[in-house]
Amino acid sequence: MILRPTREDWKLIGWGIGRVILAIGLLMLVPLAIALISTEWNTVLNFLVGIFACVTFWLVMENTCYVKRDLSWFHGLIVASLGWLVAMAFGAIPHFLSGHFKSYLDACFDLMSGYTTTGLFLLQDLDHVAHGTNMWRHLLTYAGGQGIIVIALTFLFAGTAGAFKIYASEGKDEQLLPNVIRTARAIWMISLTYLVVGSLFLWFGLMKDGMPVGRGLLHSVWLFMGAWSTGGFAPQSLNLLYYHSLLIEMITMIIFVIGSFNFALHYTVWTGNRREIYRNIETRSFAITALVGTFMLSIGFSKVGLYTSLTEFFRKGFYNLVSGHTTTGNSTVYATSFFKEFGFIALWAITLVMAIGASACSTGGGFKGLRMGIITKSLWGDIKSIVSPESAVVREKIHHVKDVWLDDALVKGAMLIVISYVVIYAVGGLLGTIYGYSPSVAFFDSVSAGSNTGLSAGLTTPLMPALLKVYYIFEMWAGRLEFMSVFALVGMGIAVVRGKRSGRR
Amino acid sequence: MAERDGLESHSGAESRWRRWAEYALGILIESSAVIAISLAALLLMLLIKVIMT
Repeated sequence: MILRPTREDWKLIGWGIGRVILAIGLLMLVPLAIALISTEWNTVLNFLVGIFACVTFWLVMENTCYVKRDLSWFHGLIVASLGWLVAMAFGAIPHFLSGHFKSYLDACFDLMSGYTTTGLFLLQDLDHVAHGTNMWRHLLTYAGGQGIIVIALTFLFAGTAGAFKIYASEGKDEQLLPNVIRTARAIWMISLTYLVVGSLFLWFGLMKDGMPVGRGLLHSVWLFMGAWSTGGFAPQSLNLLYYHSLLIEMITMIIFVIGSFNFALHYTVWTGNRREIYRNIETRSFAITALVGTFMLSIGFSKVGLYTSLTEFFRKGFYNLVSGHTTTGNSTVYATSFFKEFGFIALWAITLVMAIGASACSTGGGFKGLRMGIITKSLWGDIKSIVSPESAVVREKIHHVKDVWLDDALVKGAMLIVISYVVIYAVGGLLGTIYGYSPSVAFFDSVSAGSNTGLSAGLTTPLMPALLKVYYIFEMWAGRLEFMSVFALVGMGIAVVRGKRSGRR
Repeated sequence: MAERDGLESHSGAESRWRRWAEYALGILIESSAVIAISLAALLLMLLIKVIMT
Protein backbone atom coordinates (compact mmCIF):
# COMPACT_ATOMS: atom_id res chain seq x y z
CA MET A 1 0.00 0.00 0.00
CA ILE A 2 1.41 3.42 -0.98
CA LEU A 3 0.91 6.13 1.64
CA ARG A 4 0.31 9.73 0.68
CA PRO A 5 2.83 12.14 2.29
CA THR A 6 1.35 13.92 5.30
CA ARG A 7 1.48 17.64 6.04
CA GLU A 8 4.26 16.91 8.52
CA ASP A 9 6.30 15.12 5.79
CA TRP A 10 6.03 18.18 3.54
CA LYS A 11 7.10 20.43 6.41
CA LEU A 12 10.17 18.31 7.18
CA ILE A 13 11.18 18.28 3.52
CA GLY A 14 10.64 22.05 3.27
CA TRP A 15 12.74 22.63 6.41
CA GLY A 16 15.61 20.49 5.07
CA ILE A 17 15.58 22.22 1.69
CA GLY A 18 15.54 25.61 3.46
CA ARG A 19 18.82 24.67 5.17
CA VAL A 20 20.36 23.57 1.87
CA ILE A 21 19.42 26.90 0.26
CA LEU A 22 20.89 28.80 3.20
CA ALA A 23 24.17 26.94 2.51
CA ILE A 24 24.01 28.18 -1.11
CA GLY A 25 23.42 31.74 0.10
CA LEU A 26 26.42 31.50 2.44
CA LEU A 27 28.58 30.18 -0.40
CA MET A 28 27.70 33.29 -2.43
CA LEU A 29 29.60 35.38 0.13
CA VAL A 30 32.90 34.18 -1.42
CA PRO A 31 32.25 35.48 -4.98
CA LEU A 32 30.70 38.57 -3.41
CA ALA A 33 34.00 39.26 -1.62
CA ILE A 34 35.98 38.67 -4.85
CA ALA A 35 33.64 41.05 -6.73
CA LEU A 36 34.09 43.69 -3.99
CA ILE A 37 37.90 43.37 -4.09
CA SER A 38 37.81 43.60 -7.91
CA THR A 39 35.44 46.61 -7.73
CA GLU A 40 32.91 44.87 -9.99
CA TRP A 41 29.86 46.72 -8.70
CA ASN A 42 27.30 45.16 -11.04
CA THR A 43 28.48 41.70 -9.98
CA VAL A 44 28.29 42.75 -6.32
CA LEU A 45 24.66 43.69 -6.86
CA ASN A 46 23.94 40.36 -8.61
CA PHE A 47 25.25 38.39 -5.65
CA LEU A 48 23.46 40.57 -3.11
CA VAL A 49 20.19 39.80 -4.91
CA GLY A 50 21.07 36.08 -4.90
CA ILE A 51 21.95 36.07 -1.18
CA PHE A 52 18.78 38.01 -0.33
CA ALA A 53 16.66 35.45 -2.23
CA CYS A 54 18.35 32.48 -0.48
CA VAL A 55 18.09 33.97 3.01
CA THR A 56 14.45 34.95 2.46
CA PHE A 57 13.61 31.41 1.32
CA TRP A 58 15.41 29.92 4.34
CA LEU A 59 13.62 32.26 6.78
CA VAL A 60 10.23 31.36 5.30
CA MET A 61 10.99 27.63 5.50
CA GLU A 62 12.49 27.82 8.99
CA ASN A 63 9.46 29.67 10.34
CA THR A 64 6.74 27.76 8.57
CA CYS A 65 8.13 24.22 8.31
CA TYR A 66 9.97 23.46 11.53
CA VAL A 67 8.64 20.32 13.25
CA LYS A 68 10.08 18.47 16.21
CA ARG A 69 10.75 15.24 14.35
CA ASP A 70 13.79 13.64 12.79
CA LEU A 71 14.29 12.94 9.08
CA SER A 72 13.51 9.43 7.85
CA TRP A 73 15.12 7.77 4.81
CA PHE A 74 12.19 8.95 2.71
CA HIS A 75 12.71 12.57 3.77
CA GLY A 76 16.46 12.34 3.25
CA LEU A 77 16.05 11.09 -0.30
CA ILE A 78 13.52 13.80 -1.17
CA VAL A 79 15.56 16.59 0.45
CA ALA A 80 18.60 15.50 -1.59
CA SER A 81 16.78 15.20 -4.92
CA LEU A 82 14.53 18.27 -4.60
CA GLY A 83 17.22 20.24 -2.75
CA TRP A 84 19.54 20.05 -5.77
CA LEU A 85 16.80 21.35 -8.10
CA VAL A 86 15.83 24.23 -5.81
CA ALA A 87 19.53 25.01 -5.23
CA MET A 88 19.93 25.18 -9.03
CA ALA A 89 17.10 27.71 -9.33
CA PHE A 90 18.49 29.96 -6.56
CA GLY A 91 22.15 29.61 -7.54
CA ALA A 92 21.31 30.63 -11.12
CA ILE A 93 20.12 34.11 -10.04
CA PRO A 94 23.56 35.84 -10.05
CA HIS A 95 24.50 33.94 -13.22
CA PHE A 96 21.39 35.10 -15.07
CA LEU A 97 21.78 38.69 -13.86
CA SER A 98 25.38 38.75 -15.18
CA GLY A 99 24.05 39.11 -18.74
CA HIS A 100 26.20 36.25 -20.06
CA PHE A 101 23.28 33.87 -20.62
CA LYS A 102 20.76 33.65 -23.41
CA SER A 103 18.00 32.60 -21.01
CA TYR A 104 17.31 31.58 -17.40
CA LEU A 105 17.29 27.97 -18.61
CA ASP A 106 20.89 28.39 -19.81
CA ALA A 107 21.88 29.81 -16.40
CA CYS A 108 20.19 26.83 -14.70
CA PHE A 109 22.05 24.47 -17.07
CA ASP A 110 25.40 25.93 -16.01
CA LEU A 111 24.40 25.78 -12.34
CA MET A 112 23.46 22.12 -12.53
CA SER A 113 26.62 21.47 -14.53
CA GLY A 114 28.64 23.16 -11.77
CA TYR A 115 26.95 21.47 -8.80
CA THR A 116 27.20 18.05 -10.43
CA THR A 117 30.86 18.65 -11.43
CA THR A 118 29.99 18.11 -15.08
CA GLY A 119 31.67 21.09 -16.71
CA LEU A 120 29.48 21.57 -19.79
CA PHE A 121 28.56 25.24 -20.13
CA LEU A 122 26.29 27.55 -22.10
CA LEU A 123 27.77 30.79 -20.74
CA GLN A 124 28.64 33.19 -23.53
CA ASP A 125 31.84 35.23 -23.88
CA LEU A 126 33.62 33.40 -21.05
CA ASP A 127 36.86 35.25 -21.70
CA HIS A 128 35.29 38.53 -20.54
CA VAL A 129 33.42 37.29 -17.48
CA ALA A 130 33.79 39.22 -14.19
CA HIS A 131 36.09 37.71 -11.53
CA GLY A 132 33.14 37.35 -9.14
CA THR A 133 31.12 35.33 -11.67
CA ASN A 134 34.14 33.19 -12.53
CA MET A 135 34.72 32.53 -8.83
CA TRP A 136 31.06 31.47 -8.50
CA ARG A 137 31.41 28.99 -11.39
CA HIS A 138 34.48 27.37 -9.88
CA LEU A 139 33.32 27.48 -6.29
CA LEU A 140 30.09 25.80 -7.35
CA THR A 141 31.93 22.91 -8.88
CA TYR A 142 34.38 22.64 -5.96
CA ALA A 143 31.56 22.65 -3.43
CA GLY A 144 29.41 20.41 -5.61
CA GLY A 145 32.24 17.88 -5.72
CA GLN A 146 32.09 17.46 -1.97
CA GLY A 147 28.29 17.53 -2.24
CA ILE A 148 25.81 20.30 -1.48
CA ILE A 149 24.38 18.18 1.29
CA VAL A 150 27.88 17.67 2.71
CA ILE A 151 28.22 21.46 2.89
CA ALA A 152 24.89 21.79 4.63
CA LEU A 153 25.78 18.91 6.95
CA THR A 154 29.12 20.43 7.86
CA PHE A 155 27.67 23.69 9.04
CA LEU A 156 23.92 23.54 9.36
CA PHE A 157 22.74 20.10 10.42
CA ALA A 158 24.94 19.48 13.47
CA GLY A 159 23.24 17.27 16.02
CA THR A 160 20.59 15.95 13.63
CA ALA A 161 20.29 12.19 13.90
CA GLY A 162 18.73 12.04 10.43
CA ALA A 163 21.82 13.65 8.90
CA PHE A 164 23.19 10.34 7.60
CA LYS A 165 20.00 9.78 5.63
CA ILE A 166 20.41 12.92 3.55
CA TYR A 167 24.18 12.38 3.31
CA ALA A 168 23.70 8.91 1.83
CA SER A 169 20.88 10.15 -0.42
CA GLU A 170 23.37 12.36 -2.24
CA GLY A 171 25.18 9.33 -3.65
CA LYS A 172 27.90 9.22 -0.98
CA ASP A 173 26.99 6.13 0.96
CA GLU A 174 30.36 5.52 2.63
CA GLN A 175 31.03 6.77 6.12
CA LEU A 176 34.71 7.50 6.76
CA LEU A 177 34.02 7.88 10.45
CA PRO A 178 31.25 6.59 12.74
CA ASN A 179 29.68 10.05 12.91
CA VAL A 180 28.34 11.51 9.64
CA ILE A 181 29.07 15.12 10.60
CA ARG A 182 32.69 14.11 11.30
CA THR A 183 32.72 12.28 7.95
CA ALA A 184 31.59 15.47 6.18
CA ARG A 185 34.30 17.45 8.00
CA ALA A 186 36.97 14.85 7.11
CA ILE A 187 35.95 15.18 3.43
CA TRP A 188 36.46 18.94 3.72
CA MET A 189 39.78 18.50 5.51
CA ILE A 190 41.11 16.36 2.63
CA SER A 191 39.77 18.73 -0.03
CA LEU A 192 41.06 21.89 1.62
CA THR A 193 44.54 20.41 2.15
CA TYR A 194 44.69 19.51 -1.53
CA LEU A 195 43.33 22.97 -2.41
CA VAL A 196 46.31 24.63 -0.74
CA VAL A 197 48.95 22.21 -2.09
CA GLY A 198 47.50 21.93 -5.62
CA SER A 199 46.92 25.68 -6.02
CA LEU A 200 50.49 26.45 -4.91
CA PHE A 201 51.92 24.09 -7.54
CA LEU A 202 49.69 25.57 -10.23
CA TRP A 203 50.50 29.13 -9.15
CA PHE A 204 54.21 28.36 -9.43
CA GLY A 205 53.67 26.82 -12.86
CA LEU A 206 51.64 29.75 -14.15
CA MET A 207 54.13 32.34 -12.88
CA LYS A 208 56.97 30.32 -14.43
CA ASP A 209 55.09 30.60 -17.74
CA GLY A 210 54.93 34.38 -17.31
CA MET A 211 51.50 35.04 -15.81
CA PRO A 212 51.32 38.03 -13.40
CA VAL A 213 51.20 37.15 -9.68
CA GLY A 214 47.62 38.25 -8.95
CA ARG A 215 46.09 36.78 -12.10
CA GLY A 216 48.16 33.64 -11.61
CA LEU A 217 46.78 33.21 -8.09
CA LEU A 218 43.17 33.47 -9.26
CA HIS A 219 43.75 31.13 -12.21
CA SER A 220 45.57 28.59 -10.03
CA VAL A 221 42.72 28.45 -7.50
CA TRP A 222 40.11 28.20 -10.26
CA LEU A 223 42.05 25.55 -12.18
CA PHE A 224 42.49 23.56 -9.00
CA MET A 225 38.79 23.78 -8.15
CA GLY A 226 37.83 22.66 -11.66
CA ALA A 227 40.30 19.76 -11.69
CA TRP A 228 39.97 18.48 -8.11
CA SER A 229 36.20 18.42 -8.24
CA THR A 230 36.45 16.65 -11.61
CA GLY A 231 34.27 19.50 -12.89
CA GLY A 232 36.57 20.63 -15.67
CA PHE A 233 35.66 24.29 -15.61
CA ALA A 234 38.47 26.68 -16.49
CA PRO A 235 38.52 30.49 -16.56
CA GLN A 236 39.15 30.68 -20.32
CA SER A 237 36.99 29.43 -23.16
CA LEU A 238 39.87 27.37 -24.58
CA ASN A 239 40.10 25.49 -21.28
CA LEU A 240 43.62 24.02 -20.76
CA LEU A 241 44.56 24.72 -24.39
CA TYR A 242 44.78 28.42 -23.39
CA TYR A 243 47.90 27.84 -21.26
CA HIS A 244 49.96 25.83 -23.80
CA SER A 245 51.92 24.41 -20.89
CA LEU A 246 53.02 20.81 -20.40
CA LEU A 247 53.70 21.53 -16.72
CA ILE A 248 50.19 22.87 -16.07
CA GLU A 249 48.70 19.90 -17.95
CA MET A 250 50.71 17.44 -15.84
CA ILE A 251 49.78 19.13 -12.56
CA THR A 252 46.07 19.33 -13.43
CA MET A 253 46.10 15.70 -14.54
CA ILE A 254 47.57 14.54 -11.23
CA ILE A 255 44.99 16.69 -9.39
CA PHE A 256 41.97 15.36 -11.26
CA VAL A 257 43.03 11.72 -11.06
CA ILE A 258 43.55 12.05 -7.29
CA GLY A 259 40.27 13.99 -7.10
CA SER A 260 38.54 11.06 -8.75
CA PHE A 261 39.68 8.68 -5.98
CA ASN A 262 37.26 7.55 -3.30
CA PHE A 263 37.31 9.74 -0.16
CA ALA A 264 37.50 6.52 1.87
CA LEU A 265 40.70 5.66 -0.04
CA HIS A 266 42.21 9.09 0.70
CA TYR A 267 41.30 8.73 4.34
CA THR A 268 42.76 5.21 4.60
CA VAL A 269 46.04 6.16 2.89
CA TRP A 270 46.36 9.38 4.88
CA THR A 271 45.82 7.63 8.18
CA GLY A 272 48.57 5.06 7.73
CA ASN A 273 47.36 2.22 5.49
CA ARG A 274 49.63 3.05 2.52
CA ARG A 275 49.25 -0.31 0.76
CA GLU A 276 45.56 0.39 0.20
CA ILE A 277 46.47 2.51 -2.83
CA TYR A 278 47.35 -0.56 -4.93
CA ARG A 279 45.16 -3.12 -3.16
CA ASN A 280 41.94 -1.17 -3.61
CA ILE A 281 39.55 -2.53 -6.26
CA GLU A 282 38.84 0.98 -7.58
CA THR A 283 42.49 1.88 -8.17
CA ARG A 284 43.00 -1.44 -9.95
CA SER A 285 39.82 -1.03 -11.95
CA PHE A 286 40.85 2.50 -12.97
CA ALA A 287 44.34 1.36 -14.00
CA ILE A 288 42.95 -1.50 -16.13
CA THR A 289 40.25 0.56 -17.87
CA ALA A 290 42.68 3.46 -18.44
CA LEU A 291 45.08 1.02 -20.15
CA VAL A 292 42.26 -0.47 -22.25
CA GLY A 293 41.31 3.10 -23.25
CA THR A 294 44.96 3.88 -24.09
CA PHE A 295 45.11 0.77 -26.23
CA MET A 296 42.00 1.81 -28.18
CA LEU A 297 43.24 5.40 -28.46
CA SER A 298 46.64 4.28 -29.79
CA ILE A 299 45.03 2.04 -32.40
CA GLY A 300 42.59 4.81 -33.36
CA PHE A 301 45.30 7.46 -33.70
CA SER A 302 47.54 5.08 -35.67
CA LYS A 303 44.72 4.46 -38.13
CA VAL A 304 44.20 8.19 -38.83
CA GLY A 305 47.88 9.14 -38.42
CA LEU A 306 47.23 11.59 -35.57
CA TYR A 307 49.48 12.56 -32.62
CA THR A 308 52.25 10.14 -33.50
CA SER A 309 54.95 11.57 -31.20
CA LEU A 310 55.01 10.58 -27.52
CA THR A 311 54.59 14.18 -26.29
CA GLU A 312 51.68 14.85 -28.64
CA PHE A 313 50.04 11.59 -27.66
CA PHE A 314 50.39 12.44 -23.96
CA ARG A 315 49.17 16.04 -24.24
CA LYS A 316 46.39 15.66 -26.80
CA GLY A 317 45.38 12.04 -26.47
CA PHE A 318 46.12 10.55 -23.06
CA TYR A 319 45.30 13.80 -21.22
CA ASN A 320 41.81 13.95 -22.72
CA LEU A 321 41.29 10.22 -22.22
CA VAL A 322 42.13 10.44 -18.51
CA SER A 323 40.14 13.66 -18.22
CA GLY A 324 37.15 11.75 -19.64
CA HIS A 325 37.79 8.67 -17.51
CA THR A 326 37.90 10.68 -14.30
CA THR A 327 34.78 12.53 -15.56
CA THR A 328 36.65 15.84 -15.35
CA GLY A 329 36.28 17.47 -18.75
CA ASN A 330 39.45 19.57 -18.81
CA SER A 331 40.56 19.56 -22.41
CA THR A 332 43.65 20.35 -24.47
CA VAL A 333 41.95 20.22 -27.89
CA TYR A 334 39.13 22.14 -29.56
CA ALA A 335 35.69 20.55 -28.99
CA THR A 336 35.26 19.88 -32.68
CA SER A 337 38.57 17.95 -32.80
CA PHE A 338 36.98 14.97 -31.06
CA PHE A 339 34.60 14.49 -33.95
CA LYS A 340 36.57 15.86 -36.89
CA GLU A 341 40.12 14.64 -36.10
CA PHE A 342 40.13 11.83 -33.53
CA GLY A 343 38.45 9.28 -35.77
CA PHE A 344 35.81 6.70 -34.86
CA ILE A 345 37.87 4.39 -32.58
CA ALA A 346 39.50 7.14 -30.50
CA LEU A 347 36.17 9.01 -30.13
CA TRP A 348 34.45 5.87 -28.84
CA ALA A 349 37.41 5.03 -26.59
CA ILE A 350 36.82 8.33 -24.79
CA THR A 351 33.04 7.78 -24.78
CA LEU A 352 33.57 4.35 -23.20
CA VAL A 353 35.86 5.54 -20.40
CA MET A 354 33.54 8.50 -19.71
CA ALA A 355 30.67 6.05 -19.27
CA ILE A 356 32.71 3.98 -16.80
CA GLY A 357 33.80 7.06 -14.88
CA ALA A 358 35.54 7.53 -11.57
CA SER A 359 35.41 6.07 -8.06
CA ALA A 360 32.39 5.77 -5.78
CA CYS A 361 32.15 8.33 -2.98
CA SER A 362 34.39 10.70 -4.91
CA THR A 363 33.80 13.94 -6.77
CA GLY A 364 33.36 12.02 -10.04
CA GLY A 365 30.48 10.39 -11.92
CA GLY A 366 29.78 7.45 -14.25
CA PHE A 367 29.25 3.75 -13.45
CA LYS A 368 32.13 3.97 -10.93
CA GLY A 369 35.16 1.69 -10.57
CA LEU A 370 33.68 -0.06 -7.57
CA ARG A 371 30.65 -1.24 -9.55
CA MET A 372 32.83 -2.28 -12.48
CA GLY A 373 34.94 -4.29 -10.04
CA ILE A 374 31.89 -5.92 -8.44
CA ILE A 375 30.34 -6.86 -11.79
CA THR A 376 33.62 -8.13 -13.28
CA LYS A 377 34.43 -10.20 -10.18
CA SER A 378 30.90 -11.58 -10.15
CA LEU A 379 31.17 -12.61 -13.82
CA TRP A 380 34.55 -14.19 -13.11
CA GLY A 381 33.00 -16.10 -10.22
CA ASP A 382 30.22 -17.35 -12.51
CA ILE A 383 32.77 -18.55 -15.07
CA LYS A 384 34.77 -20.30 -12.33
CA SER A 385 31.67 -22.05 -10.97
CA ILE A 386 30.82 -23.30 -14.48
CA VAL A 387 34.22 -24.93 -14.94
CA SER A 388 34.46 -26.20 -11.32
CA PRO A 389 33.02 -29.50 -10.09
CA GLU A 390 29.34 -29.29 -9.17
CA SER A 391 30.01 -29.71 -5.48
CA ALA A 392 32.48 -26.79 -5.38
CA VAL A 393 31.38 -23.55 -3.71
CA VAL A 394 32.80 -20.55 -5.54
CA ARG A 395 32.75 -17.21 -3.76
CA GLU A 396 34.44 -14.03 -4.89
CA LYS A 397 35.57 -11.07 -2.82
CA ILE A 398 36.73 -7.56 -3.56
CA HIS A 399 39.08 -5.38 -1.58
CA HIS A 400 37.80 -1.91 -0.83
CA VAL A 401 39.33 -0.64 2.43
CA LYS A 402 38.51 -4.11 3.78
CA ASP A 403 37.71 -7.45 2.12
CA VAL A 404 34.07 -7.66 1.05
CA TRP A 405 32.47 -10.97 -0.01
CA LEU A 406 30.20 -10.62 -3.01
CA ASP A 407 26.56 -11.62 -2.60
CA ASP A 408 23.57 -11.43 -4.93
CA ALA A 409 22.20 -8.24 -3.35
CA LEU A 410 25.50 -6.39 -3.86
CA VAL A 411 25.79 -7.49 -7.50
CA LYS A 412 22.12 -6.75 -8.18
CA GLY A 413 22.45 -3.26 -6.69
CA ALA A 414 25.53 -2.52 -8.83
CA MET A 415 23.81 -3.85 -11.97
CA LEU A 416 20.68 -1.75 -11.36
CA ILE A 417 22.69 1.47 -11.16
CA VAL A 418 24.81 0.60 -14.22
CA ILE A 419 21.67 -0.22 -16.25
CA SER A 420 20.11 3.08 -15.15
CA TYR A 421 23.18 4.93 -16.44
CA VAL A 422 23.07 3.06 -19.75
CA VAL A 423 19.40 3.99 -20.17
CA ILE A 424 19.93 7.72 -19.60
CA TYR A 425 23.01 7.72 -21.87
CA ALA A 426 21.06 5.95 -24.62
CA VAL A 427 17.96 8.17 -24.40
CA GLY A 428 20.14 11.31 -24.59
CA GLY A 429 22.05 9.90 -27.54
CA LEU A 430 18.88 8.99 -29.40
CA LEU A 431 17.33 12.39 -28.66
CA GLY A 432 20.40 14.14 -30.09
CA THR A 433 20.31 11.88 -33.15
CA ILE A 434 16.61 12.67 -33.70
CA TYR A 435 17.49 16.38 -33.62
CA GLY A 436 19.87 15.74 -36.53
CA TYR A 437 23.27 15.52 -34.82
CA SER A 438 25.72 12.80 -35.85
CA PRO A 439 25.13 9.70 -33.65
CA SER A 440 28.77 9.73 -32.50
CA VAL A 441 28.50 13.35 -31.39
CA ALA A 442 25.05 12.87 -29.84
CA PHE A 443 26.18 9.85 -27.79
CA PHE A 444 29.49 11.49 -26.85
CA ASP A 445 27.76 14.56 -25.38
CA SER A 446 24.96 12.53 -23.80
CA VAL A 447 27.43 10.21 -22.04
CA SER A 448 29.43 13.26 -21.06
CA ALA A 449 26.36 14.85 -19.40
CA GLY A 450 25.10 11.66 -17.75
CA SER A 451 28.51 10.70 -16.38
CA ASN A 452 29.14 14.31 -15.23
CA THR A 453 32.23 14.60 -17.42
CA GLY A 454 31.91 17.83 -19.40
CA LEU A 455 33.83 17.06 -22.58
CA SER A 456 31.86 18.08 -25.64
CA ALA A 457 32.18 17.11 -29.28
CA GLY A 458 30.45 20.34 -30.25
CA LEU A 459 26.77 19.64 -29.57
CA THR A 460 26.51 21.55 -26.28
CA THR A 461 26.16 25.21 -27.23
CA PRO A 462 23.60 27.94 -26.39
CA LEU A 463 21.99 27.15 -29.75
CA MET A 464 21.14 23.53 -28.95
CA PRO A 465 17.40 22.72 -28.69
CA ALA A 466 15.75 23.64 -25.37
CA LEU A 467 14.45 20.08 -24.87
CA LEU A 468 18.01 18.74 -25.09
CA LYS A 469 19.13 21.33 -22.53
CA VAL A 470 16.37 20.19 -20.16
CA TYR A 471 17.23 16.52 -20.76
CA TYR A 472 20.94 17.15 -20.13
CA ILE A 473 20.03 18.94 -16.86
CA PHE A 474 18.06 15.81 -15.91
CA GLU A 475 20.98 13.56 -16.93
CA MET A 476 23.48 15.55 -14.89
CA TRP A 477 21.19 15.59 -11.85
CA ALA A 478 20.17 11.92 -11.99
CA GLY A 479 23.72 10.77 -12.75
CA ARG A 480 25.19 12.71 -9.85
CA LEU A 481 22.59 11.47 -7.35
CA GLU A 482 23.02 7.92 -8.65
CA PHE A 483 19.27 7.45 -9.20
CA MET A 484 18.04 6.30 -5.79
CA SER A 485 16.96 9.81 -4.73
CA VAL A 486 15.43 10.31 -8.17
CA PHE A 487 13.48 7.04 -7.86
CA ALA A 488 12.29 8.22 -4.43
CA LEU A 489 11.10 11.50 -5.93
CA VAL A 490 9.17 9.65 -8.65
CA GLY A 491 7.75 7.42 -5.91
CA MET A 492 6.62 10.47 -3.99
CA GLY A 493 4.93 11.83 -7.10
CA ILE A 494 3.02 8.56 -7.44
CA ALA A 495 2.18 8.61 -3.72
CA VAL A 496 0.79 12.14 -3.99
CA VAL A 497 -1.49 11.13 -6.86
CA ARG A 498 -2.44 7.57 -5.94
CA GLY A 499 -1.44 7.10 -2.29
CA LYS A 500 -3.83 6.56 0.58
CA ARG A 501 -4.16 8.94 3.51
CA SER A 502 -2.47 7.65 6.64
CA GLY A 503 -1.39 8.53 10.12
CA ARG A 504 2.25 9.23 10.88
CA ARG A 505 4.94 7.84 8.56
CA MET B 1 41.11 10.75 26.37
CA ALA B 2 42.64 10.90 22.98
CA GLU B 3 40.22 10.69 20.08
CA ARG B 4 41.21 8.37 17.26
CA ASP B 5 38.36 8.83 14.85
CA GLY B 6 39.17 11.94 12.87
CA LEU B 7 41.87 13.30 10.59
CA GLU B 8 42.03 16.37 12.78
CA SER B 9 42.06 14.48 16.06
CA HIS B 10 45.07 12.20 16.32
CA SER B 11 46.19 11.31 19.83
CA GLY B 12 47.49 14.14 21.93
CA ALA B 13 51.00 12.64 22.01
CA GLU B 14 51.40 12.97 18.27
CA SER B 15 52.86 16.28 17.36
CA ARG B 16 51.32 18.55 14.79
CA TRP B 17 54.30 18.29 12.43
CA ARG B 18 54.07 14.50 12.42
CA ARG B 19 50.40 14.63 11.50
CA TRP B 20 51.11 16.97 8.60
CA ALA B 21 54.04 14.78 7.55
CA GLU B 22 51.59 11.88 7.34
CA TYR B 23 49.26 13.93 5.15
CA ALA B 24 52.21 14.93 2.93
CA LEU B 25 53.22 11.29 2.61
CA GLY B 26 49.63 10.43 1.69
CA ILE B 27 49.65 13.08 -1.05
CA LEU B 28 53.02 11.78 -2.30
CA ILE B 29 51.79 8.17 -2.46
CA GLU B 30 48.61 9.15 -4.32
CA SER B 31 50.59 11.28 -6.79
CA SER B 32 53.05 8.42 -7.36
CA ALA B 33 50.15 6.10 -8.19
CA VAL B 34 48.94 8.55 -10.88
CA ILE B 35 52.44 8.87 -12.35
CA ALA B 36 52.86 5.07 -12.37
CA ILE B 37 49.56 4.58 -14.26
CA SER B 38 50.54 7.32 -16.75
CA LEU B 39 53.95 5.75 -17.39
CA ALA B 40 52.36 2.34 -17.93
CA ALA B 41 49.94 3.89 -20.44
CA LEU B 42 52.76 5.64 -22.30
CA LEU B 43 54.74 2.39 -22.47
CA LEU B 44 51.69 0.65 -23.89
CA MET B 45 51.30 3.39 -26.48
CA LEU B 46 54.96 3.02 -27.50
CA LEU B 47 54.55 -0.74 -27.77
CA ILE B 48 51.51 -0.37 -30.03
CA LYS B 49 53.36 2.22 -32.11
CA VAL B 50 56.27 -0.18 -32.62
CA ILE B 51 53.91 -3.04 -33.54
CA MET B 52 51.82 -0.94 -35.92
CA THR B 53 54.81 0.48 -37.85
